[in-house]
Amino acid sequence: MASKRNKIEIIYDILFAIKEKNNRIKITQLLHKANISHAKSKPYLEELFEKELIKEITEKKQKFFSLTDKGFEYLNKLDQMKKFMKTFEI
Amino acid sequence: MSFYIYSPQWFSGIDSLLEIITIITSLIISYYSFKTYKLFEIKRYKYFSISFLLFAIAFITKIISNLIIIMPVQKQIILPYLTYTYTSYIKLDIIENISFTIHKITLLLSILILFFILNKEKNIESIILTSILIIILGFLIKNYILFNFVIILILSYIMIISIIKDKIKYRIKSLFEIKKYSNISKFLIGLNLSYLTLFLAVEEHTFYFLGETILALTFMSVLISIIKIFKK
Repeated sequence: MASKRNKIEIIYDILFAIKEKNNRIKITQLLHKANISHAKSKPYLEELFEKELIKEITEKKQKFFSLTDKGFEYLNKLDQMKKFMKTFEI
Repeated sequence: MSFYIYSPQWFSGIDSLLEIITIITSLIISYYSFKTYKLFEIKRYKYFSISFLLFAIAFITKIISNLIIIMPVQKQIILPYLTYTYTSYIKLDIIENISFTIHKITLLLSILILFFILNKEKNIESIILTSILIIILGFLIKNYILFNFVIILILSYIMIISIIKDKIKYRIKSLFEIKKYSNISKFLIGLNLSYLTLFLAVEEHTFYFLGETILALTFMSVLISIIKIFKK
């Protein structure tokens, strides 16, 4: 059974999902990819907007989420730490 | 008592240079483990960080205990019509003794912490009691270096077995996948081989050189894999 994700893991999954979709993802796809409900995602997305890690872009009247440069940097940092954890696997 | 009694004469001093690799790697592991703990709030990494910090301290104090620290002292010879003053040098045994004592405690503690993390031991009472017992035993036994070698050998062996069991149970389908083993397995196998070789140095001092080299190579390999992760 998979263990319960903590806050930073959920944030990682959200950022990773955006990056995976060529940095342009709709909210429904994001919720599906990050495996989170709409209600639960709200505070996380608010925090990510507040910290300028993600931004909203509108194309053909459709809203998408996208990573900012700061968001890419942060995701990269999290990725490195995850890799570090994986290589030690304690 | 110091480690140079097991070292071949030609290797004295070189072992300290090799241990610098161990110290640097341990400090890097400790730093990134603490960062991991802060970021992901996984407590195991806090203890892992402490364990490697203690490992680094253990090797810093080992280097200090192997140094021959001398202090200049002014001495006088008073002869009739003449007082002769000269500088003499005395060996500071106290620094050697203090650093060796710190080395004893920190090395054992670091391995014990690692052992408790990997065995997922959560009973604080048993953790504290086992640690105190082993450290007291270490102080009671005359040849502490040998005691250290034996304890590290046994604990690292148990940890390797526990990791292999864990891997077989949850992750790997066959033993051929062992090459995918993580840094911790690499570290423990290297540590075990190194201390097995160091144990043999009691009889043949050349093994001390071999043991120290294995330890340095183990840490070097772990360091390279960490550099690869963070090179960006």
